[in-house]
Amino acid sequence: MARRLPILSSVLVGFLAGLAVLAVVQTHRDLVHDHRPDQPRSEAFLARSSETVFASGERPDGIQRSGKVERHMTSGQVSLWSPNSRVSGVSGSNTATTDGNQDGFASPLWNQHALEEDRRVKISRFEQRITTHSLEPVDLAWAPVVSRSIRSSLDFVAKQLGPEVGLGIVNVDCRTRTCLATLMFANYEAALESFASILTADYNVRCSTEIVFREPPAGREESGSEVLILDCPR
Amino acid sequence: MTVIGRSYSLVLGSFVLTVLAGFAFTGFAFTESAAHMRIPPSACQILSNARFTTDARIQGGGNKNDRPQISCPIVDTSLLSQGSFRRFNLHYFDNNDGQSTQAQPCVTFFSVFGGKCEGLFQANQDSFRGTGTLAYPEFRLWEENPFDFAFISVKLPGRDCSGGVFFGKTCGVSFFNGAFVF
Repeated sequence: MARRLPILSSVLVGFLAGLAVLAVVQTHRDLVHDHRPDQPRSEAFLARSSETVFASGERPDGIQRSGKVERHMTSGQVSLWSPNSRVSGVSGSNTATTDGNQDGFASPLWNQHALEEDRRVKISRFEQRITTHSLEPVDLAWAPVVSRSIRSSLDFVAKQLGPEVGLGIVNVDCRTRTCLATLMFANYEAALESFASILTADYNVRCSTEIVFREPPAGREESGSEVLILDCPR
Repeated sequence: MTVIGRSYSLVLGSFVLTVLAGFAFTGFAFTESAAHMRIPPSACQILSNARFTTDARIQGGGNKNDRPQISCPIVDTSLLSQGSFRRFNLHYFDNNDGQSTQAQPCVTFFSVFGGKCEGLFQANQDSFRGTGTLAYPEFRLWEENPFDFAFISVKLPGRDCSGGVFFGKTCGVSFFNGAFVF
């Protein structure tokens, strides 16, 4: 028995060592997994502080569904394109929520800085994708067929959305892999309310879809031309 | 080799083997337990041509040209973040041999108005009729936009009233049972 004691104890120590190594590896994996390049992770998690508070119980996604954007803005809160503030959050200690509990409305993921940085990155990437599309050569066997299909689908969506939205298809331009559809709307509000239907429409081609809306000129509500990018890996 | 030397070799050998075995066993257990989130139909929004049933499914209506459409937002937590989901399986009952269930992952941007969806996907041929699972291929959309608002857009087959009797009904209706993201 005395001779087996070292073996038994080494088995026990070995098992514990194995667990310790695994714990270290797992922790490392979690840290690596959580970190996303190009994402404002550190800033975002800092938002757990009460620096940023969504005003008066407004849901973060309430802007998109609102009938009229400004109608839902409380004093101190401004729309995304206002020159006074570039994001729809409010900051500062003077802002109070309806129940007076600021922490209850603070998003653990977003803060003012993270929002602005994310917005800048998204607009920049979208414009880069438009540029990349314009540099693509045209595949004459693929592009006309896919263009027709996309236009037909957009026509169908326009009928479904009705005259209030006033979706107009100005142009559909397909190249080798990407297509760019230039769209018009009755007004900016209609564009914001209907873009999800355009993103999720059936284009009969397996393409990812993306829309990023440009800001209308200050004080105007009409929509300019908006761009839908379709990326169709083949 | 002396007795003492053999004892040390035995001890050292069993230590190394136990470390390896313990590591392999526990590592396997950890890597195989992929976290998932269930999405019941009640968590989804009906956008058109569908209704909730008493057994907590969503029943499709509409027709071939006006399909039922559902939108299922992704709920996540600090322990199971939206960015960790790269796949989803969608479970349905397809009772139309001319259409099949389609789905795509999407995200609504928060910092700017707009959004993005991956391509619309369907698992079965249009002629399929029966209980089906749509396993969407691996994607990175939610991982690339972890702080935006993710959802799955679902299109069920429209009602099939082409003249046959489908499971005791004159019009075939399809159902959405739920989904898993993982």
